[in-house]
Amino acid sequence: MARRPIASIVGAACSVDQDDASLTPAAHAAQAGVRALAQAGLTTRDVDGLFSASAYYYLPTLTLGEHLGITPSYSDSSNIGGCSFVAHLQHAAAAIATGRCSVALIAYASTQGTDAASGLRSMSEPLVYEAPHGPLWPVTGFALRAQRHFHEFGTTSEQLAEIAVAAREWACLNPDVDVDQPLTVADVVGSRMICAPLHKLDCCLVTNGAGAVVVTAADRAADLVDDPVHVWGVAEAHDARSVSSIPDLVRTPATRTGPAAMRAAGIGIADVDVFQLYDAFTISVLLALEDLGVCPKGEGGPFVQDGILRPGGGLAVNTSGGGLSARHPGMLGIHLLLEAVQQLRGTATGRQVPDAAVALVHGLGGVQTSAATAVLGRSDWSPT
Amino acid sequence: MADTARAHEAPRREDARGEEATFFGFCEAGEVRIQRCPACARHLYPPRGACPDCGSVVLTWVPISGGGTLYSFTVHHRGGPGFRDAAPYVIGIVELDEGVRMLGRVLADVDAVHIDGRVTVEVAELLDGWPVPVFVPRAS
Repeated sequence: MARRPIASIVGAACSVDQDDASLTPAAHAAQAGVRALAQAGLTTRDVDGLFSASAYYYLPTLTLGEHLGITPSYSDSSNIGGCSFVAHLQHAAAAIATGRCSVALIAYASTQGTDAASGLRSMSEPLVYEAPHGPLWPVTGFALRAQRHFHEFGTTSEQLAEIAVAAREWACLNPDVDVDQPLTVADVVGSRMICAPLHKLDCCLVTNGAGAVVVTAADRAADLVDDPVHVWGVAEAHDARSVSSIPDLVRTPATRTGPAAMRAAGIGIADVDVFQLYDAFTISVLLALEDLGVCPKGEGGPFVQDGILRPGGGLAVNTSGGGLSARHPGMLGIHLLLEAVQQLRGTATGRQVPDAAVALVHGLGGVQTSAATAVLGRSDWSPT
Repeated sequence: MADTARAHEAPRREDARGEEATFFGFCEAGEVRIQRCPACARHLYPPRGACPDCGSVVLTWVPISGGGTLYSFTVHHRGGPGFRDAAPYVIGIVELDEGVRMLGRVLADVDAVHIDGRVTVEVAELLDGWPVPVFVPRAS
């Protein structure tokens, strides 16, 4: 029997002006929601499944529901970190398949760029075993991963820097990003050291951001839009909360979610045309490339060092410029989905990957201790 | 960034509760103790309410040998909350000889810190009134 999509994305949008400091995160998320729904000719009245996660709102789906006048019959604010919204895709597909809801809205917004001066928001419990030692979360955890990777495999700062350089080249092509200066490897390794071996330019931006995605059943999607993006496989996993409990600093739960999502979709890694890999730090991308099987474990450094991630370099990764050079609003998952949808719709102005039919979206949470991977396909694509 | 825990507030000893407070209570007595599951003869850290292997809810607090091996480390050139003026300093993950890993400050010059190097676990106050386990590299 031919595979069928587990669900379809019929709307994907950001708020009117994600950098508008006059709006709260809830107001931004509401704007993104109505804009995403409008793409499918839907309104808030059609939404019966609401999905969100937040560092701002204790009851995020209640807050967003109130802002939008949505009183859902299915509500999910599960939070596994920045990749939550990729995981929500799977939750929404399951809820739709079992009749719990028919139109799911997944939304997120943050104004942490605006808030940075007064202190970033967090709802984290005090991490009492770690905090009295002076960690700078989350940089410390990723630096510990990077240092161990250097030790085991001989990876270098220059190799990590190439990931930031490639992201900046993509950002320069993206008209939605206000940046036009490329970076060099020397710029990255010459930037201020934060937690060795991670420099300032190995770290993502701190910005505002708001996005929403509308999900419905594949057969209904065909009646709503001409260009649905089909969801073929999603998987989620996590293995630790504390840095000290990470089973292996050079491996992440992507080793489970990547194969599971691709198996569900009936594809292999070579079938992917465009990757959106959660880039909280340069090392995050390196670990994802290895754990997803794009290159063998330990060979991420040599794999990226000659520019394969740059536009035209051979592997289309983080085509918006990613969290490193485009936008990183605390939790990046929804923006990974927005860029994948743009690529599969063929609307990624300035940085469109020719004939992109299959996108792999890979998100992380915590210190890359949670993961969610989704395989998305263009409307006319299906697994052979 | 992926996560921001108490991004701008200094940590407070009184935030430790339950088994967390028990752990730091031993530190206040100058001792590092971790849990052990008598049923499966396995050490546990961080402290828990049940053994993740066998499910036993009877766990004992035992002293550690005090030896360990550095699994990874990072030199902080920017201080975390409560330690803004303390940088540079080193935070590491140590695999204790009991087989569990612990995150903590490495009290040494950066040049003396090596992955896979041996360390001794001691107790020190990095914040006033909050003794915690710290790691001191052994002369190689």
